[in-house]
Amino acid sequence: MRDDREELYEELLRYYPAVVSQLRKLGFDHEDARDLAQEVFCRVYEHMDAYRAESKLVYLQTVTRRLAYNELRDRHAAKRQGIHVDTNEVVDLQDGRDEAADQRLERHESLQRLRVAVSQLPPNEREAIRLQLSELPLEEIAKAIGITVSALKSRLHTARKRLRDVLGETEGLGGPDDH
Amino acid sequence: MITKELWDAIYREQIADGRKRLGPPPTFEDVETLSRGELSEPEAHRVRELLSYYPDLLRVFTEPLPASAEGVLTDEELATDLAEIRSRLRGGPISRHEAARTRPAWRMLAIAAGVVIAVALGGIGVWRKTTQQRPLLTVFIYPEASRGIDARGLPGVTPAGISTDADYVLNPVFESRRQYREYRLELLDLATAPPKRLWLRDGVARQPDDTYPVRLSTKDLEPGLYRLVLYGVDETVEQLAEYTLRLKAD
Repeated sequence: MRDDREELYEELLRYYPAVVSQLRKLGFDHEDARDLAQEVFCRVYEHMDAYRAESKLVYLQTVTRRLAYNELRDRHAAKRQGIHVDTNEVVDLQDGRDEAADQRLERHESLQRLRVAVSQLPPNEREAIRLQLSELPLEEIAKAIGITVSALKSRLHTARKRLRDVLGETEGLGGPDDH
Repeated sequence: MITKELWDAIYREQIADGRKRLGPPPTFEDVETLSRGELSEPEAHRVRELLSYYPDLLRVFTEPLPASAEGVLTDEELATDLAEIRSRLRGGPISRHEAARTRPAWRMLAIAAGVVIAVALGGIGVWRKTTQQRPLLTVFIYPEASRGIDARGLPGVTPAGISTDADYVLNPVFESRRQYREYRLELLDLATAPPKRLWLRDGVARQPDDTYPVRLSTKDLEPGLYRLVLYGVDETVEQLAEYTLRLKAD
């Protein structure tokens, strides 16, 4: 490898811990994050010719995201095939036996009201509510899905208004109410 | 009162329903293209909707590279990992990640090459219909590898090849410790987006050899790509496996 590329690569290697940290935040355990980070840097090395020096971090970020995304996507495929189910993701169905019967009934009725109310939202507003419930930052979501933040917040605002009209409240939804 | 717990329950329901209904998530390339605003409006809508059912994948695009990563790795771990990278670049041993992904031999047969046809000939599984000229062939097919699947579910690896001049008894193979009340098979035409359902068979029986046989007549099908989907049915319907078929004209 030419000396300037060698130097550039050594500079990028300084970000190795940051890549591991990012992968941990994306849900990979410590060992998997280290293994995947190594894969990232090997790919970066292999494709150094495609890299423009002024955007080295963007390039590193893109390779990291691609590998992380594909690994997570593969895990979803494995679940669909019944090969692997992460027990952490098994839906925790609340055991209502400790609740009083009237509380159970109220919860069931509230859930049904909410279910109907959400199902009656237009698709793009239902989607906005789903994105809100993901608890990811709205600005970043908007950038990732190619719409403006104001458009996303507008859909949310309209959806929340509709839900309030039907349910009387949107207390547990969380997130910003105004745009 | 509508509590956060109820919102969480609705969210989980939405996610589960959306994933079953719409299938696999978009590819990385599709999401990149979406974020650049380069998809057509219908495509953008499709990818956006799909992505909303996979918050962990969406998070890949929202989580930045941290400015500080102090304490993430011990000095020893960092030294070990950098040494492994340099070793690999010099043609050294594969990483633990690659080693961990090596599957047992039987899965390698099933998965590594993608969908494989094993045609049972001779006295085991082939017989001809004398009233018609179309042969009836028995084939075994395996769940396709997950890598290489593009946005419309078209496989990047070779699908199982079948021909328009024969009918088939398809034996999709799927091993699972869990036993469902019943099984269901669905055939999709991949020529359309989204794929169009051609038929749905309920009451499919699981055989002792972990196959779920179903008869497929190709007489009225156009050459192209099709997908067979296996579901397990208990209180809910769970998608278990997908098999891609390439129908060729003869």
